[in-house]
Amino acid sequence: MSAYGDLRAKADRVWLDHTHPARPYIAVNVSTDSYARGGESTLRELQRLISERGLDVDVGVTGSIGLSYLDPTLSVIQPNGTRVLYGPITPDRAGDLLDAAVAGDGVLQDLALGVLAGRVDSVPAIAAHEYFRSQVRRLMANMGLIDPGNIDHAIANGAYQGLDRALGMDQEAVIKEVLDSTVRGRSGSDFPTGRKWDFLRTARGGPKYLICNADEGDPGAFINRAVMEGDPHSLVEGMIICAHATGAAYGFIYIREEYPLCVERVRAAIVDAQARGLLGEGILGSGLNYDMRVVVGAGSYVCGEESGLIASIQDARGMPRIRPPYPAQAGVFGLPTNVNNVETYADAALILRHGLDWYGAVGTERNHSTKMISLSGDVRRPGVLEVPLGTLTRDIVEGVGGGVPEGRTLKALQPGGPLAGIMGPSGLDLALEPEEYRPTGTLMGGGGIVVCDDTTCIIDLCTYFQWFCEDESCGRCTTCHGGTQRLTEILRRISSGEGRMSDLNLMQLLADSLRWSNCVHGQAAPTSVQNALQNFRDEILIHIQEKRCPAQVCLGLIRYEVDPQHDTGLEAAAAICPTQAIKDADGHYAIDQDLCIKCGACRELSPMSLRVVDFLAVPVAPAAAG
Amino acid sequence: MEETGRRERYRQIVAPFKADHADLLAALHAVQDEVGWVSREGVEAVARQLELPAAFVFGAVSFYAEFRTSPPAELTVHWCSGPACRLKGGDNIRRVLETVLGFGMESVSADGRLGLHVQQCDGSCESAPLVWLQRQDAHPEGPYGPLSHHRGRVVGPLLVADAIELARRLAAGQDAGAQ
Repeated sequence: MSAYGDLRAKADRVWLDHTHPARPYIAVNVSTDSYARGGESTLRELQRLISERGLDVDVGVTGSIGLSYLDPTLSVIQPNGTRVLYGPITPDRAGDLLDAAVAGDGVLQDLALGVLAGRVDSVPAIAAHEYFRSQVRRLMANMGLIDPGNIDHAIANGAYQGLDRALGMDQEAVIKEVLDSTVRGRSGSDFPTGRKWDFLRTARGGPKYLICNADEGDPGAFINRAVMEGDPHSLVEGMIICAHATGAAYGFIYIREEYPLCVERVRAAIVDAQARGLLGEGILGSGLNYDMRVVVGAGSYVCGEESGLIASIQDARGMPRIRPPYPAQAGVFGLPTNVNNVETYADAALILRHGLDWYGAVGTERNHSTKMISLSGDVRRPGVLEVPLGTLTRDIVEGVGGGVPEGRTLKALQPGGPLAGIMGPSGLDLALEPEEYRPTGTLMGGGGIVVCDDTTCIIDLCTYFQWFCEDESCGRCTTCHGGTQRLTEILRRISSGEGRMSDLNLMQLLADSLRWSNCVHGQAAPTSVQNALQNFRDEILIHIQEKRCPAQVCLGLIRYEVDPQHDTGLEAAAAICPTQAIKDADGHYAIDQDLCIKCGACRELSPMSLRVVDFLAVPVAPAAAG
Repeated sequence: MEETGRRERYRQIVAPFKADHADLLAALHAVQDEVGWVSREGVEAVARQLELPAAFVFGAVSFYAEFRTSPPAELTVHWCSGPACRLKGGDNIRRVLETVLGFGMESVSADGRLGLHVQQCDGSCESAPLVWLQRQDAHPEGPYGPLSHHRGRVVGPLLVADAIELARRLAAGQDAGAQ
């Protein structure tokens, strides 16, 4: 039997035991999503109850299936092979879950989300769940099912099968297959992956290096995190295939510091792959020698730019430099290098595993297969999902995500990170393809979509993005560090009520100047402002001319007033005020506007009596004390 | 004597790292993980080990938001600056934390007990708006260990009123359930 065949046979036995355990097995979602919703307390409570009651139940780990809004999720595997997904399992429901789990075919009906394996009469298949109906799970096929720390689980579910096949092909054949697959840089770079690989293959000199850009810094994007936390071997396999196709000898996976669980799981995946002969000398008995390691970033967005990333890896400040030379000629240590992102490498592994016919059976003519998306902001079902390329954005935001919260209307969509821009509600009609997004002045980017409802102020949103771009500018180009700073100042001026009509032209002028920055950070930083000038011009004009913020967010344009006086919550509102601005004079409450920081806490406690009013709409109060 | 001991400790921390081996970030992380921050002695130890000028190493330290050049507080509130938090009133939460605690972001209280830090989005957006509470001396174990260790405990979704009460409890020396 081949080296891969041996691995697979062993892994299949492990997986069979896992999916048909001797006693009930609870696989708890251990991921950042679950942690943020209290998964650790649930896990502790399960372990406590099992030992207290002496139950015949095992507890283990899995990754996130993407249902962040229903975390903590977990699934129960029964000896008969059925597997049911539950959520949210808070610690107070852990006992109920255990009661059901030990009752043979028992199901905790009210928290059952769907069946992951086998048949359970009272629970529908997970594919019927509203979050899954429009999804096609390829990159995410194993997420929430396998233990990400168990290489046998990954291998039994197809990992390294693509590598085994690729090792039987020559370099050109592998690259041709990647090229024919249509896959392009999934970070939003959109560059054909096969061509990039061919640049490295034909580059002179060596040794050659691979880099995985796992510095997913776009706020609101957490796709690469899902891959690394949920199925890290898909990334490791993709990089080994790339090493075979390009002749690379060594690889770096650059993971942002904010993703500690990714660092741990990818490191463990590399160690396990080394132990199975999938990394190192003579991989799977072939002549391929390749190894790699993780480099942990330290909080710098601009290191996501590939030349910044390279600088950061090779012992320095992560400052982007002028290209050319491109990484394929002079990358890390000045040697030929290929940089792709996490999803791109994972996609390459799928292409080689399943072949072009399978890969092209989903998606559009020019963009085969799927794209992972992270949904956040004002959306009912935030999480990570995967849909065919070409899917209508509406089917993602409304279909999978459930749209904006009850009673609100959609105002804007912010796809692709802070450099990609802001669309109005018409963005819902775009098909999910880079070619569809680009003409609107936005970008699909890495696939993060932030949904904004009508409580959003466009000036406030732009201020956030400009602040972010200013904060993360490396400082090399004056256009970038000065331009983002000026844009931030102008936007803050508008939100303080001091906006001028000339600010419109000034912002456009700055946006035009920023295009002359050396790297994409400065070039694309003003995109959100330019989109706002096009798509939300009226709202900007209202801020400047009427000195009014329609969403009542901008601090210089609103004030809080007590009216009427009779809400029972007023006492609590006065007590919560962090600046003691709510004064009680014999039962008559008034706000000292000099003290008020407009945080809105009082309104949360006394919604009937505290009103937000437009600053100028308020008649000037009779001269108050002080 | 004490200085010699410290120097020896730094030497041990950076011993696994090599010059010209893409080890600078790893060495600085090791120093910060062990000591809590990157001191001048830490910079010098890394520079010696990696055969780089100390000024070059310090240049890198100052470039990255997550390297600290002063000791951290006993308990740090990491305020998430991401867009999902922003849309749900995250900036109001920043202002009340600063107002109640009496100092700004990236600062530590005079007694060294409390600190405020701007955190970039890590995609925990289903709990937005949120903060993380991290105790400096916590080294939790278990499958969630890396998250607990690096991030502490998440608190969210927060009302502004919740944030004020949280800040008041912290200012009064109550632990507020931090790790």
